[in-house]
Amino acid sequence: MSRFSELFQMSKLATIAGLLVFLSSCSKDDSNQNGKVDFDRDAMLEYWIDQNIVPAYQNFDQQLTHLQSTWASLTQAQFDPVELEALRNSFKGCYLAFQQIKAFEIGPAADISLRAQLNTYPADTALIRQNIASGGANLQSASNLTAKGLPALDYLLFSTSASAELMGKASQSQYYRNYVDAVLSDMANQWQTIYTAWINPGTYKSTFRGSTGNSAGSALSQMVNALNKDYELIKNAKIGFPAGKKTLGKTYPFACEGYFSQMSEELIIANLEATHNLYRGISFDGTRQGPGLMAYTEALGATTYNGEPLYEAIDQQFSLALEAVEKIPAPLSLAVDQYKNEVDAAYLEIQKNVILLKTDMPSAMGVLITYQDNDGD
Amino acid sequence: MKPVGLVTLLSAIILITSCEKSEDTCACSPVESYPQTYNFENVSHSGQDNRLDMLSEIVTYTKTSNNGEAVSEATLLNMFNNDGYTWQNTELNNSSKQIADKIHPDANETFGIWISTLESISQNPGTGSNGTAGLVQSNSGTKQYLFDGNGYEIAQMIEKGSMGALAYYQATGVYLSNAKMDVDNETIEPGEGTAMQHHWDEAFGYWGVPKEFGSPGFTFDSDAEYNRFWAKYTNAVNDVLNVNSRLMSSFIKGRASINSKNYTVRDEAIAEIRSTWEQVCAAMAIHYLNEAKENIADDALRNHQLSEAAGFIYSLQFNPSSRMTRSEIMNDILPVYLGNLYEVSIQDLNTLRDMLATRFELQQEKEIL
Repeated sequence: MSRFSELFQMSKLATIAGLLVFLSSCSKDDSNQNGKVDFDRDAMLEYWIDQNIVPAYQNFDQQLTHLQSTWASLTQAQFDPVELEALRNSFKGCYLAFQQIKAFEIGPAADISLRAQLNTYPADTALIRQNIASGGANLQSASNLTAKGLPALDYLLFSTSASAELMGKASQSQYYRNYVDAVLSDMANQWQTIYTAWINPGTYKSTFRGSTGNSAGSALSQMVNALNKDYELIKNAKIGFPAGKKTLGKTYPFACEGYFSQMSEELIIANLEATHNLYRGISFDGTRQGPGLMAYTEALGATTYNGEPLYEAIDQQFSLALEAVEKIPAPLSLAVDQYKNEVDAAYLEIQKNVILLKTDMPSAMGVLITYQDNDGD
Repeated sequence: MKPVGLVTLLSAIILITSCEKSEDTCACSPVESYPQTYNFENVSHSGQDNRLDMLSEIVTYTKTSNNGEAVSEATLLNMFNNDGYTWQNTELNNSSKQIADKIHPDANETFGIWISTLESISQNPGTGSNGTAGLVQSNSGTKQYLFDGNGYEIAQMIEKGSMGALAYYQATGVYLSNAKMDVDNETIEPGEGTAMQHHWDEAFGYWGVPKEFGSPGFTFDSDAEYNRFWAKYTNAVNDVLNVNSRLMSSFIKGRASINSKNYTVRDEAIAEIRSTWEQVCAAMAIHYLNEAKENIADDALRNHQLSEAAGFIYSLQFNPSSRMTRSEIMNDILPVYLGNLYEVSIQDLNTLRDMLATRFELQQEKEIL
């Protein structure tokens, strides 16, 4: 393998001598496995950029801006309780929009670990209160990842005690407000690097588009790995851990994502739908279907262990997982103890797609899964 | 990638021509005058094997601290000095070799501090956290490590530090140095070859690989005893850097040219070995920085992986032609970017990674290591 990569270096020098002809007769690069397949991978990269990644990022950008402006309005209204609802709603919109971008942990987002920066949960509420009291906490420190981002806001805006402090008249309320300021500005700072890379001016787009092929580091490989990693986080972090799947059945209701706003199921569904649509090649606005992983899997003619078309099996399993999650009575934090059957069923249906998505699909594409199993967001 | 010389180009043409004949398998064999494996006469590196075996037992013992067991400074010193310690591997009990006197002199004090720290923090450890030494579990509860108050896993530092201050230093800095290379190459000692051959083989021994390593058809066996230390980590970055065969062919080239008394080529091989081995070390540091970024929110996994990264970075100083000086590593890098592993930021880790990638010419590979 490596010898061939050196040969390709040489081929630059030797093109004139026509060596390329010989090279292609004996090289075994990725195009040999899949080269005969009638599928335009470059068009898929283009489609991902224009129809999935950039529009989802634009939407998140708008939601984050909205969140900041409702916070500014609440501040201007001197914490009039009627304004709190608008802030809470914009928070929910932002959290849902985040579910649609969190799978894209590649390039710029991977570089700053966006998911960890914005969505490490459960929040450490004791640490948050400690940071509020001390003031001036360094939110860049790894030790504060559990005290910032969306989960911190979930606590500050929705927990009865914390939101009462935030909205209260006592002098310490100012400390709470300062902390929300700090958390929001940290989020905006983190976000700015992604916005610059993908939207304005969007210089990363050409890097992504230019990473052709299927080797480690190619856009295809990055996307397949990122999709799988995110999908496994749905299984492990969003459901598995709160439901006690990693702790011999001991449940952790407070570990649910969106525990205080009680939007755990909505977040799971939004994340599942986003990954499903990415797989199916559905555009972010939902109006069209283009060249995505499903079409590529179909073009490769891959089948499951029992001979069914793999592209259909994955698609169906996504739908079954979604249906099962929708059957869990909200909130998830209560359901993990009170509706164990429904939660277990959803976990199982999500799990069933892991082997198809993580083993069968990448192997058909000649893509290696290079990440290691992770514990949570 | 290296610049492609005319000779390589010519051999490529030959190689390509030979390809045509076997279209299916492309079992191209490189046209070189060197053997494909380290299969020479009179090769012996039992002293190096002994020390790596001792180090294995030291590492196993230090890592019991991750299970909450107390580790004794006196026992560890006996192991490092091979002084009155009864090894599990009974062969070692007759060995006159020891690790302590082969560690780079600059590392002695640091090792002493690590060993005594490990003893003190491993006595009845509680739960560790920022500022408090103790045991820390991963978020999933599947992994547990003993950290000092700054989040350092001392057992890792001892292992990776020994790989650097013992094996890497002895190979690149001692056995391949002028002092050990400007020696007799005429008198053949049965079983050991000439003094020069023997020194070369001893350098090779510290790499710890089987003689077929990196040759066509070689498959790395993760159950084998050689899956440890530099053999393990060379192989770990092989997919990206093709170092199994690169480093091996340099060792073979050097040994073959000693046999034929071609010292210009031998010296070329020495430079290649130092450079390639250094890239393995830097690449592993980058790899663990990447891993730590992925686990940034998990105290146990992040600190464990950053300890590994720190150990490899620490080791970089022991190459005599290192591209990074001891002073940079000890003053400008470790305390600045990895001073407290609980408080690192993604930005710190990115800066450090980019710095290493630039210095060690791994920019193209830094994302996928």
